[in-house]
Amino acid sequence: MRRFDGAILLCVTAILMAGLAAISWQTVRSAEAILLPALEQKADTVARSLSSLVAEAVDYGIPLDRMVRADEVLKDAIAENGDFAYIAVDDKSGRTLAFAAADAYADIRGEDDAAMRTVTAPIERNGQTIAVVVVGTPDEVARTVVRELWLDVAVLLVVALLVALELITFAFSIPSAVMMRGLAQRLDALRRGDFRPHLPLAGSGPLADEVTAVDTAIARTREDHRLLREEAMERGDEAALEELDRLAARHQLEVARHEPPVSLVAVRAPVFLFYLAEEMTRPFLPSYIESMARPIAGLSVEFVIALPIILFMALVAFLQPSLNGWTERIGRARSLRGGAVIALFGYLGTAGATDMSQLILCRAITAIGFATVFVSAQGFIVDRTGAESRARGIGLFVSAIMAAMLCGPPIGGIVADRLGVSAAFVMSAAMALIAYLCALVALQRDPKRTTPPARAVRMSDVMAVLRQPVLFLLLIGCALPSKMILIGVCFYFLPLDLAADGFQPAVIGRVLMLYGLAMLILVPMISRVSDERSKRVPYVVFGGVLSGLAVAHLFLWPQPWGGALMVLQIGLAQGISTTPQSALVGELGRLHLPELSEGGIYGVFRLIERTGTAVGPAMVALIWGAASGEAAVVAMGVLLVVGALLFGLASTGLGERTAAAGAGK
Amino acid sequence: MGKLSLTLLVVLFPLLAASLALGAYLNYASVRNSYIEMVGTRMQTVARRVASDAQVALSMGMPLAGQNALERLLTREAAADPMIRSVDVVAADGTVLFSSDPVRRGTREQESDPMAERRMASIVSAFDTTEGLVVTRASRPALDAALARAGGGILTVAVAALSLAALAIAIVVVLAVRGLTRRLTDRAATAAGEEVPAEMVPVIAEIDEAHAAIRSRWAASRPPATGS
Repeated sequence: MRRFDGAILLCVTAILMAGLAAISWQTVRSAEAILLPALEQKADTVARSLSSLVAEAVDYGIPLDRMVRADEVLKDAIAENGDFAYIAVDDKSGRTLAFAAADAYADIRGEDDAAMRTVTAPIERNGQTIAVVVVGTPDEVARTVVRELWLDVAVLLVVALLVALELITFAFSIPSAVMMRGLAQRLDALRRGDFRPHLPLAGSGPLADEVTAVDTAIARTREDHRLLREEAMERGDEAALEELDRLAARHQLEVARHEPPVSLVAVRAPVFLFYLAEEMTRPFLPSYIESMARPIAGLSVEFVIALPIILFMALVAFLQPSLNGWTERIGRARSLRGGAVIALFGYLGTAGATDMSQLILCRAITAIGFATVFVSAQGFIVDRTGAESRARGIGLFVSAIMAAMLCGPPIGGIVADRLGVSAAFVMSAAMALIAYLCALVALQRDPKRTTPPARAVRMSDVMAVLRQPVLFLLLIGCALPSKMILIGVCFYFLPLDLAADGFQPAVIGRVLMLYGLAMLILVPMISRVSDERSKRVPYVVFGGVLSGLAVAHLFLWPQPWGGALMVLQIGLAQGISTTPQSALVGELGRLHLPELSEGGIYGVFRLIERTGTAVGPAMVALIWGAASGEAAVVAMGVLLVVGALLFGLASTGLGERTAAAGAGK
Repeated sequence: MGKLSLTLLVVLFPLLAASLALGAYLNYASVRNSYIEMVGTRMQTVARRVASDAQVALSMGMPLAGQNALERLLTREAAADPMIRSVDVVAADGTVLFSSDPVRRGTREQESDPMAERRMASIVSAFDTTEGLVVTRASRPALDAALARAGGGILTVAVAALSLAALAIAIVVVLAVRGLTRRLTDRAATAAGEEVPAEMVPVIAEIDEAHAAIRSRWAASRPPATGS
């Protein structure tokens, strides 16, 4: 590979993958060595327990072949141990004296014993074996254990690999690596004959000198071309102009480069690590709050549990508009670091909280830090990208968040299972600290701003947008409930429901990670295919309906599969609708409210979306307290389906008009 | 360029170690959870079975403290599984009424016991009142010994993977930077006299030559028109 930075990145990734794969392989081997004997031990324990029981009866003088209701005792043992196919008591000659089997294995004995692992325990009298208890476990049970083990290890491999890739990306955001990548990018572009100018890279040393030399050569060639073209025009030399145009087209001598700066990647690691800190708390936060919840007059227990989540989301939603200007004044990099430190104290406080009021206060502090980091990171990108490269810059930010959404819940769940919830919050604090350090090392100082700061969203903007029926239905019917179902059902109701069913945080974490997985895979794909404007409305409607229908899984399948399928379907549905929905907001805004700036329309959109994250858990908790959890989940699903269908009806024929609006833009 | 290699390696090594350590930890913790869950289910089954027998006796009017026959059952259940430390029947006030371990009889049940992994089942009367608990205690040292074997295997592979990966990454970085150095030290001058990496020269020369050809065409003809 000619691009040496890419070669290093690829090789390091391959080496890491090989290392992680070796660890996974050894994990399966080690696990098989203890789990399969443990499975056999279960059968052995039951066989030995039953053999002692029968031996005791024989000691009382009951002959083996006269024992009454022995089959029933065996049947009870089968009912208690779902893994067993059958249990039998055989005498010395092999004659079966008592027998019970699971329904699927009623005729198993003598027919298909080869597909069984059998454990026998002798029934002894006076030191002589007079009979045996035989417990048969289907081979399929062991195969299922191994299959689940591989699935577990594969999930962890993906998670560890994603974290590793994010960390490697960070390694390439330190100044000398940025310089190296910048140089590689330049040489690679020149090799392709691409003479578009690159964004300048600040630094010193031989690499920086090389970058300057290359940039100077490119600038000189372009300037030469410009002067020559001017002269050709002065001379009216059509042939020369034609030749120069051909040359310019081939080598892109007259166009600018619309790529986000190489240094932008530096924001990715702090954002990933910071979001990882918060996402790690998803599997156990609702149960942790529940453990401290005390009744408050006039509020249901469910609402009390939801309070810290509602407060967190509300603070994040409503602080963001004012934080934009504030972080701009203080400096994005500095604000990001400040936000990480605030959240660090919030996590530490949450870990040590002893009652509900402390917990609420600490979660509020975390929310302030969270909102500050979010706004600062987004602002860092916006400040360093132009209109043409902003989408790619924001894509960098969004993909880091999605990767954190995928990795955070399983890691947090495992840590909470292994070390306890308080330790998991301390680990979140550690992640916030590492995010701070990454930001300190890698984030450049903020450039002087030459344009006035964008104004915050006003109430009048919100009213103007919501007065348009189509925009109202898009924002209130689709965007708002999609966030409500995500936070209210997936991140509030489901962890509580699964914990009540006895599932550990590690299992809950693996269920919740499916949302991040679906989004990470689907969003980039849908971004490409939904660009055809006429398709956007169907994508939004389909995504909304699919998301609303996802709640049915909770009623169709046993947990955790019902929850897992619901989260996966919501992830897929929102992966389908998120990008087209965001694009539609801009297009409908231009069509219906040409006087309102695009920034203003998107400000209203984000505000309403974030409001949904606070309203969701509040609404679920209210209905849950007043009726039942099932009613709350169904209400969320119905709200989404109805909202999406109403928007679909209101948008009939919108494709052509938005296309026109898009073309106008 | 040596400094660049060193900087990259100084940053990459800790990240590599952190990534592999995270992978090893997550895998070990997952195996540990599966194993403890499996043993716990076994202990829970034993506890439920004993609780069920005690409930039958309760329903016949025999108070829990008077169910002396449970003693034999507890001994039998404990003997059936080498992992079990004790199976206890605990009264509602926390006193151990019967135990497979005679020493524990009459003692107070400890909720946290560093030597045991506990699983419980309630003994509920026909009137739905909890009369006591059956507590099965698995030996923590035995559990830890089994997990230590699994953990040891994962740790060994993780350390070996880390060493090999560190070596491989060092080779990759050194070779890549050496390649870069070679490319950068192989220099040539453009037509304008700029010293740039030689690989850039042909593409710059292509444009320079095209420009020069136009200029020479103009030089061979007449000077530019200066307007009317």
